[in-house]
Amino acid sequence: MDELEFRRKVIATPNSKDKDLLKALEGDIKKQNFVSEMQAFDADIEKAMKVPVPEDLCARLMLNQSFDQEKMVSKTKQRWSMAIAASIAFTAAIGLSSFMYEENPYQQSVSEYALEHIYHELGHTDTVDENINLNQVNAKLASFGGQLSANIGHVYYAKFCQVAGKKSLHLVVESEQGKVTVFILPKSDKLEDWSDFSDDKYSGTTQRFTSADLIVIADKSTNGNNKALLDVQERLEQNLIWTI
Amino acid sequence: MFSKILGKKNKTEQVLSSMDTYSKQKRYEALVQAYHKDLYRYGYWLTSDGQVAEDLVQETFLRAWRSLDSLKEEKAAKSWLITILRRENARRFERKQFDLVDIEDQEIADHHSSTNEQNIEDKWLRKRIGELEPEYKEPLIMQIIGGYSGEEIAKELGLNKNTVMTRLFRARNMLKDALDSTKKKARVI
Repeated sequence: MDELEFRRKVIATPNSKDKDLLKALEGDIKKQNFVSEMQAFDADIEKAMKVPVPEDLCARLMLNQSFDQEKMVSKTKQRWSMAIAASIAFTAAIGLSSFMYEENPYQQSVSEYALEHIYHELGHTDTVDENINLNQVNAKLASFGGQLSANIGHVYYAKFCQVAGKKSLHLVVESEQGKVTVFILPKSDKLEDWSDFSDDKYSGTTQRFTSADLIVIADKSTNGNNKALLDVQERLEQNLIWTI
Repeated sequence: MFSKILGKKNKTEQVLSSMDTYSKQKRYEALVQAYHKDLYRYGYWLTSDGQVAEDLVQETFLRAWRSLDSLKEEKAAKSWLITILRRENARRFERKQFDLVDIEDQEIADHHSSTNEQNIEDKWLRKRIGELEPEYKEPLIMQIIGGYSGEEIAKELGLNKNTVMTRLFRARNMLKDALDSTKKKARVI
């Protein structure tokens, strides 16, 4: 093995156990030092590549699987139900099909999605303040065909997210009663039941436009009888212009 | 007869089926525990965006769950998962929906890390790694995070082995040269 080939091999694969390489090292201090140097550098690279991993990622991955498990089970049941319903309805009473129809597994209720999304990002979106200006918000809104004609208050956070297979623009804005979360989603038929909702911690309201749909959520403890929700919803309604 | 057609199982089948699901679940959980960090890091370096990397990892593990039966050997699991992740990443660009990912070059900083913990060289190295061209960066992360050999990288990327070795050589050389010249500057000062 010549000098050049040796160098190339060591730099490309510093931890190689290649027989020819090891043989070339025998009794050659200079070469051994070079290999040690490259291995040390490689250890630094490996250390640098090990960026911190979000702490709750593991838990979320476990959770996703159990959600999916439930969807799969109802999907199988639904297939058979539909096959039978179709044949019966063809020959006899049409009404039978509505009894056999189970929940469409691709649909998710708006409240379920919204709460899943907000819990998904807790620990980050409730504490961050990136002080997003109006232009930045509008740059993101542009992909929905929307624009804000005026400031709607301090924006702590504005990022695109994907949760439960649905993409959205996630905003956190200020109101007199505290922070309010807004999800802006493209029109789709994947979400159903667009009405007010709540759980122990949050309450939310929805609004549908021609070009996009809005979900507004606030923490119950700071919400002051839905005032924050209505406040932000009104500000959005008054200042949102749709170009599509 | 209708119970069978409707997908309902008799008692024995129900028990066997839940045992199957249980062991599948245990298998899935073991994979998540063992590989979620490496997959996240792989995705992070591939996309330069922590949020996108998270989404990719979630998609990857979901697909892995659904096709878990096709994984025959546990020792092939890591490369199997990386293959799925790379495929999911390729799909991102194929989607016809509007592009939702902010492609800002300085978006290398993820919001999870704290500057107190990283030492200076780590931070510097991360920046340099992030700046490598994709054809040099990916073989490197495949080798270091994925643990792939030169042959395995060649197979996964559809390149010949010499090309892969050259790219690995150049990637490390570029990093080393940048480090050496920075150190020289420091000494001069």
